[in-house]
Amino acid sequence: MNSPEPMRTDAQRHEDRRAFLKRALAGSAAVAAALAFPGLARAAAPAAGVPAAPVPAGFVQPESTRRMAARLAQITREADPLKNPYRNADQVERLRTAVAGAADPHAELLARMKLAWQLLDAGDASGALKHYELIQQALADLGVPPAQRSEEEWLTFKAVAYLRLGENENCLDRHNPSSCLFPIAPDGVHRLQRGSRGAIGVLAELLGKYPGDLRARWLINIAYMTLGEYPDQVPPAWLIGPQCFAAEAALPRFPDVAPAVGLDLNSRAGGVVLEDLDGDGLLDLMVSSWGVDDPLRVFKNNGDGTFTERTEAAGLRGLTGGLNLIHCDYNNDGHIDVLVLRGAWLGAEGRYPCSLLRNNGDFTFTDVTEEAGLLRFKPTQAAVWFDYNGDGWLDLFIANESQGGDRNPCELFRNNGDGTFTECAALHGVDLVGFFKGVVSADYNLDGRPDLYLSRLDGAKVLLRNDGPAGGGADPQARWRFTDVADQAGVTDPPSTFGCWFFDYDNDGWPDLFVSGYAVADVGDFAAEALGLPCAGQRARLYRNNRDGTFSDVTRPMGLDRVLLSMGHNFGDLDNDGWLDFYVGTGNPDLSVLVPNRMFKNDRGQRFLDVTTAGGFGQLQKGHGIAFGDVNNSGTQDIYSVVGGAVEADHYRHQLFANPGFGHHWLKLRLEGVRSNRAAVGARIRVLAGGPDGDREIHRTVGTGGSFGSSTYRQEIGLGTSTRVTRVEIRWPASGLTQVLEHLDIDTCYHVREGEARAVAVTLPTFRWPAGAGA
Amino acid sequence: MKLLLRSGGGLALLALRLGAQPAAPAPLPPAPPLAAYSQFGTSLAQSAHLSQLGWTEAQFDAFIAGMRAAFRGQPVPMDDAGRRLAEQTGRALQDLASGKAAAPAAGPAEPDPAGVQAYYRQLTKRLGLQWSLSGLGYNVSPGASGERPRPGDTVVLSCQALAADTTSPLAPLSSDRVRVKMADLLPGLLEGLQMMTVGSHAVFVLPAQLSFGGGRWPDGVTPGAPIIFKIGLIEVLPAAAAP
Repeated sequence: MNSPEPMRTDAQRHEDRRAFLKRALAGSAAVAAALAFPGLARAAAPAAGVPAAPVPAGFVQPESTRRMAARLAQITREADPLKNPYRNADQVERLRTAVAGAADPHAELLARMKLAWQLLDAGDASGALKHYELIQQALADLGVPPAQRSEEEWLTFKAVAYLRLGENENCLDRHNPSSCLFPIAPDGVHRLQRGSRGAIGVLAELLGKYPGDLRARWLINIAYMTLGEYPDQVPPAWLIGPQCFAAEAALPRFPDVAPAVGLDLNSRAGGVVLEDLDGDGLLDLMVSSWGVDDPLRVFKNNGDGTFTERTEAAGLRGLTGGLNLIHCDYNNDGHIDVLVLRGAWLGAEGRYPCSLLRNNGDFTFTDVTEEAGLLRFKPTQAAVWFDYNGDGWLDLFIANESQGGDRNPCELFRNNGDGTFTECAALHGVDLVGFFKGVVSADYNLDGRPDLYLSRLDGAKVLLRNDGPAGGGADPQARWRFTDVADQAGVTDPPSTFGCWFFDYDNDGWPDLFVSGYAVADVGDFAAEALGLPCAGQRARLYRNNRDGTFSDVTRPMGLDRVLLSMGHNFGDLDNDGWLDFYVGTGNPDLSVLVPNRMFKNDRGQRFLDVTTAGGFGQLQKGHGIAFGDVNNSGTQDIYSVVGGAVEADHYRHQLFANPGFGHHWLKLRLEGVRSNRAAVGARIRVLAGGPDGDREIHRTVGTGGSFGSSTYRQEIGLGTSTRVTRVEIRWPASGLTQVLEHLDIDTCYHVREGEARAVAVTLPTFRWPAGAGA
Repeated sequence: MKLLLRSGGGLALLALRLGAQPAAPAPLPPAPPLAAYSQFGTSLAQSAHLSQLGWTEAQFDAFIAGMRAAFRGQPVPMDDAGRRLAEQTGRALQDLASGKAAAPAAGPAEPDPAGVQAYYRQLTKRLGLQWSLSGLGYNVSPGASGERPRPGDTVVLSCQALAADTTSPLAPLSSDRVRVKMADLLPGLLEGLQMMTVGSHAVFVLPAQLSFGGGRWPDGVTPGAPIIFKIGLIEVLPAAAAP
């Protein structure tokens, strides 16, 4: 028996959205051919108002970087835009010509339908609305029976166009930190109301005719919020009450300071690295945007509440695209390097290379992809750095996307220790084929070898237990054994998943596992969940490590049996209580999917509580790369969130949530491997702390966090009510050495070198957020 | 379509024919030859693994007598012994369907929780299921519109029912097109249909408590066994609009 299709790719979802066009004129042979998907490139989103550092005199962009830039441009230039569903603007012109030159009214109508969609996806909501009216007139003129006009879908199109019009005119053009922040505060209420007013009219018509349309019901509540008329003006039959969105725990508000410091970058979906890129103790920022022409950008933290864009000066000009970024120190030189992942979701059109950017130590980067042996052309957004063979050099696993007949097996690049890599996935039996959307590493069974977990959109998950060299011995170049134990470990579910991460949510020293579900019928699933109605949206899973090689599904008892539709994500400690919390960016390419990003607070390992609305984290626009880190070195972690979606219309401004502080003590550890990889990836930390509430243990593992968003390697550990650190134990990954440190001070950052007896206290520059930033 | 309804009673085929409210009624075909009924009976018995239950001829004769009584509209009342037998047999058939258990003995069988769990694990993997709090297994694929049925609505749907082995059709519970009030559906289908939008398709796995539970099970459907439904939601007729 065949089950219903477990997943749809984004491209397929786009096709779904357009399927009703075909039904509207069913029987026409021209329809299928005419509705082949269009698209073309578009200029990058506008730049933010941050000062840009001048390019140093005499600086010449490395030849290898220029070669990569030229390669990327060539691929884009030679690509068939019709096959990329996320390139919209150029197609508009093509369709305008098609409308003008149509041979008959029937052909004109078909072209206009496509044009209306492309206008909406390209960002011209007014144009889309104009053509909507022309389409309705043409349908009537052609005598298409009302039953075949797909009225519900066209009305939804119209409503979404009105909503997007309102978002463009208010949330983007008159942006402030409250814009699109769910539920909309008075500052975020639309001043230009024609968009939301229009949407309400259409949605009311929809609900009158189709009262079970939960998509319309969700959106009409959002529309009223944008006008400041929620909940009072929402007709009772359609109201989704405020109690449905109440926070499950109190939390002070985390103000969005991105506009104040110039980091409210306006982009589409992308990745983020929040890390100290120049070794000055301050976390800098690198972000990508996945549009094929969108630039990779980097910003230096000046340590005074300002940032300077150094994209040009850092030598990144021409490096475009990239849905995800993951940092590392692949050459153990102490400088943070960055991997850019490209081609995701695009199938055969996603044959873009990744980029390995070597940090030269002076805030410049060189694209060394080719010389490192990493030049390959497969669609991906998922990769992880880990030292699988324990030789002290970080290896790279890239989880690729295969769909249909387009096979792109996963790759494992062994680090040769000389700046180059050797691909050995097939040799080690890990050249897996699937639509992979996330990969993370942890030593889940504490046997000293880092394992891999792979999340895929199209089936059972994979847990690759690292069983060491096939023939025994210690040769790092030997054939390695990886065994898929997902089934026996109990972590194969759910069927359609996206992001994932290992973290020790219950502080027992054993890595637990989270994987997000990624499938909904439409945005109505969120209405259903809020109203307590059945809904089939794919739910997340939290697996607790049973310490015996298996996991238990604790999703329900931990309060996470929810539809999140999450993409980007990461975890950290919001309130320095020593328990790891997490934040998820939500959405999908559909412009109607206006759902809040979600923040969950860990209640002492007993339950996760939704604090989205309390903390002000409910961004309605699409959420992608997320990173936690203490940007102003106040001792508490801030959160950077890349906001923006897939189609060209779906760009938005990023957010930087400033931590208001909780009065808890903390400890920061910057680890440096010697025998182990220098960034200490995989090092396990056990903190023994004590205070008025007794003694406790806190566990951390060094890494960048989840699979979509790259947090600092620096360990920023909240101590809760503890007032002293009695002991810190660090288990180094390659050497297996357990290093013990005692008499560490609280509220202090230490540099810890593998094998050295003493930790060195480091003074970090601190600053306050600018006055008026709301922090 | 009574067999989708909360109370199962009556011979399955008869109930389907008399109770259904097809949206587009078609003339009844001529009655098949008697041999076809024998073949159908064999099919039902095989899909229900009746030959593997270890019953004696006398036990089987009594089982047939019960079916005959129900067919004649004079069903034999169920007592505790009957309910116990139904539950035990249902579990045994689940195990048989999962391929994990040997045929149960003729006498009272102890529940085999491990076998049942293994069956559901296998089912979850094979069908890509999620499970609701009530115990409903579901896998819903996207539809064409945002409209969803509410408990007071009437729906038009296609329905293919399968036995616990996921392959044997349960013809009495199946229809290409049937119109039914949501409120009259089996509890599991009432819940599951609300997850669907018009044009979507779904697989639902209804454990016994969400189908016929402790009530009367339709003939041809193994009491206590899970039932698998493949549903297509064709149309929603809102409560106020439905005639």
